[in-house]
Amino acid sequence: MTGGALSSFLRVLQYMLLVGSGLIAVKLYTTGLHRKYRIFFAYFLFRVPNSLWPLLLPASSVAYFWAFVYTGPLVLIFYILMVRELYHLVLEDYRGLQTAGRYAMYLSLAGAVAISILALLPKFTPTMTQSSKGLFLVSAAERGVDTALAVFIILLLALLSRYPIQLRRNVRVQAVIYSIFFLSSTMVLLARMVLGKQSVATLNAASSVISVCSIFAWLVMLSPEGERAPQRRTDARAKNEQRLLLQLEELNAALLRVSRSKIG
Amino acid sequence: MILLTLIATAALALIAAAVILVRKLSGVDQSLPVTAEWISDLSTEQYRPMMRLLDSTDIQFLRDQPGYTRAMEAQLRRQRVQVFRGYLRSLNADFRRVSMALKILMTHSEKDRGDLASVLMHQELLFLTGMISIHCRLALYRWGLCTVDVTGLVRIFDQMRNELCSLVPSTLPTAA
Repeated sequence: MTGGALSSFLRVLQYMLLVGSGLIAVKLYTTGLHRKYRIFFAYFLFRVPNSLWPLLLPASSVAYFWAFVYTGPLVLIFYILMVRELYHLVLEDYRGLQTAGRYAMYLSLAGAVAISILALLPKFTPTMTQSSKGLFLVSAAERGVDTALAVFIILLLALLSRYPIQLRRNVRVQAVIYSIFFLSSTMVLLARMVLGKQSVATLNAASSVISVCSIFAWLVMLSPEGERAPQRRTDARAKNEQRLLLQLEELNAALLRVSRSKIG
Repeated sequence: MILLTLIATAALALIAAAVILVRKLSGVDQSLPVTAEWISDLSTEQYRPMMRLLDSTDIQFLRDQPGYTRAMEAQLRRQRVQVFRGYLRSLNADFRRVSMALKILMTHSEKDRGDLASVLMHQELLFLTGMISIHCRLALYRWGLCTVDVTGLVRIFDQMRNELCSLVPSTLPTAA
């Protein structure tokens, strides 16, 4: 692909990001999902103007540079809050697992931080200009946060998969798309660092393609039906399970009554 | 470029892991592995023979017999290890079922069960390290280099079993 064609392709992708972000915000609002996915909804409200300025400002201008440097950390804060929201949604239906979930979160966080530190090993070189250092800092922070969030989600899922829990479809969709999105972003940022300046345009296009795919996957796959709790099977074995569950529920109620009477 | 390929492979593996884990959490093929009867029948009695299976007195007895050869001892050790591994698999399966029963209890609780979470995590970690240690010692036992003591592992299982039994009162009906 020639430089001109790549530039046009990139512009088309930026328009798609803008439209896709707007459509997700509208879909979340009209379906009422914005009440449940508040941070996710807020991110797409922020994303609409954040997808607009790259279309209006020339990429070589000073204004573009400062817009990039100032909005970069905001995007990262949104990413962290979105994953925090996902963590709460995962455990929403399971009050009995709050402490177990917290243990899983601490372990996942420790693993995620350790791995993201490895991804941040490349450092400043003394010959860097001030603006290069600024760009490097934003890029390094993005790489570290993206890696940490992806690893955090995967470790959390791995630890929780040891419990007999079923996640709602929307939560599963969020977990998979976040993992793919964050890992792909990390890959693009690492490739940009390894391959150098000559491949920046191609990698920017790759990054935009990933964002567009993620946005359209969210747009298609998130739905009010995805909030329904998964249905259980009704075969003979499920009846046995049902009987045991009734026992366990009765037991939990008894324990709760005892603990309340002790407190009282 | 090699570094980039390695990182890309790792990223793809992580994405695959995320998809598999999410599929597992979709509950497509999940079933509860215990019944109320199974909980009430649970006992460490069946593991009593396992505790003396690798006792050195049997080997010593064989050595004292006329016609003893090293090949006979090696064969005895091999057979005992084989039987012992069968018991270990059964112990592991029972431990997992007890853990799962406690997890079901936590999952269906309306109140945070931090007490159970701590016990479960601690005992699972102890059981895992105990199991690894037993397997290592078992490999050495085959060559006559060490003995194997499984009482610690059975004790951990028994503690978990007691935890479960104390939570499931006998006054509750066990059959529908």
